[in-house]
Amino acid sequence: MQNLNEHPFSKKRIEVSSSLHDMLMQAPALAKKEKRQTGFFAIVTILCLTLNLLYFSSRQEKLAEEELLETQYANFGSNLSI
Amino acid sequence: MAERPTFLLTQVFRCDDIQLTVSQEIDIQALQRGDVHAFEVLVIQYEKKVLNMCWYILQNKEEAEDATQDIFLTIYQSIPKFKGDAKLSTWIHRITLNKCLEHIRKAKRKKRFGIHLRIDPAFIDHTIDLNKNPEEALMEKERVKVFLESVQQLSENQRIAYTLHHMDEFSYKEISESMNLSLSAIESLIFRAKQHLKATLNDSIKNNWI
Repeated sequence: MQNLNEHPFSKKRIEVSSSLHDMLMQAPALAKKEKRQTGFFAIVTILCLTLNLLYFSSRQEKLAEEELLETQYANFGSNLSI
Repeated sequence: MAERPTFLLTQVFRCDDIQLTVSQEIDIQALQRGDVHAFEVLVIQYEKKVLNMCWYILQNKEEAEDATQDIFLTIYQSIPKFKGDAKLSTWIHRITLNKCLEHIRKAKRKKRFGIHLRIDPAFIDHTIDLNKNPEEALMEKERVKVFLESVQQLSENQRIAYTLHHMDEFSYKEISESMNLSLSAIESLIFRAKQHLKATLNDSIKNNWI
C-alpha cells in the first residue's frame, strides 16, 4: 500500500533559478526606470491637456467672433449716414 | 549563473548563523533610503519563501515567477511606507498574498474570456514522490490532479488559508497576520475549506489528505 499520508503541499520546495534571482536583483533599476517613465508620461499628459485647453479656448473665442459676424447685427450701422 | 558579490554571501552566512534574528539583520532604514545592497540581502533571504508561497497558491511555475518579480518590485517601491507596525516578514507575506490574489483574479478574467487555464503539469510532478514505481506514480498523479482542481474551486480566502496551513511553514497566528484576519476567521476558513474538499473528493483522497 502506497503512502498517501503526506499532503501534496507539505512536500518539496522549489529552488529559485539563477535567471529569476538575477531579475529580482534588478528590481531597484526596474523601479527607477518605471518611475522615470511614469514621470515622463505625466509631463506629456499635462502638456497635451494644456495645449488642448489653449487650442479650444482660442477656437472658442474665434467661433464666438464668427458667430457674431454672421448675425443680422453684424453690419449694424455700416450704412448709416449723417 | 552570474557570480554573486562576496560581501552579500558573507552577510547571508552571518544571517544564517543567527537564525532567530534574521529579520533584524536587514537594515530597514537603509532599505527605505533605497540602498541597493540592503535590498539584495532582503532578496536573498526571502526569495525562496516568496516563490514557494506563490508556487503553492498559484500552482503554476510561470505565474509564480511573474508574481515573485512583481512582489519584489512592489517591496522596493513601497518600503519607504513601511512603518514597522508589523514584522517585516509579515509585511512581505501580505504583499505576497495580495499579489497572488491579483494573479488569481487575472487568471479568472482570462478564463471568463475563454482562455482555459489548467494546472501546471510541473506542479503535479513536483508534488508526487519520484521514488514510486511508474504505475503508482501515475495513480498518485491523477489523485493530485483531482485534489488540486478541488482546491482551485475554493473561494480565494479559503484557498489561501488552506494552502498556507498545509505548507507547514505558517502557524495560524502567522496566517492571520498575513491575511489581516482574526484567528477565529482563519480557523473557520480552513474548516470550511476542508468541508468543501470532503464534499467534493473521493474517499481515498479525503481520508489521507483532508
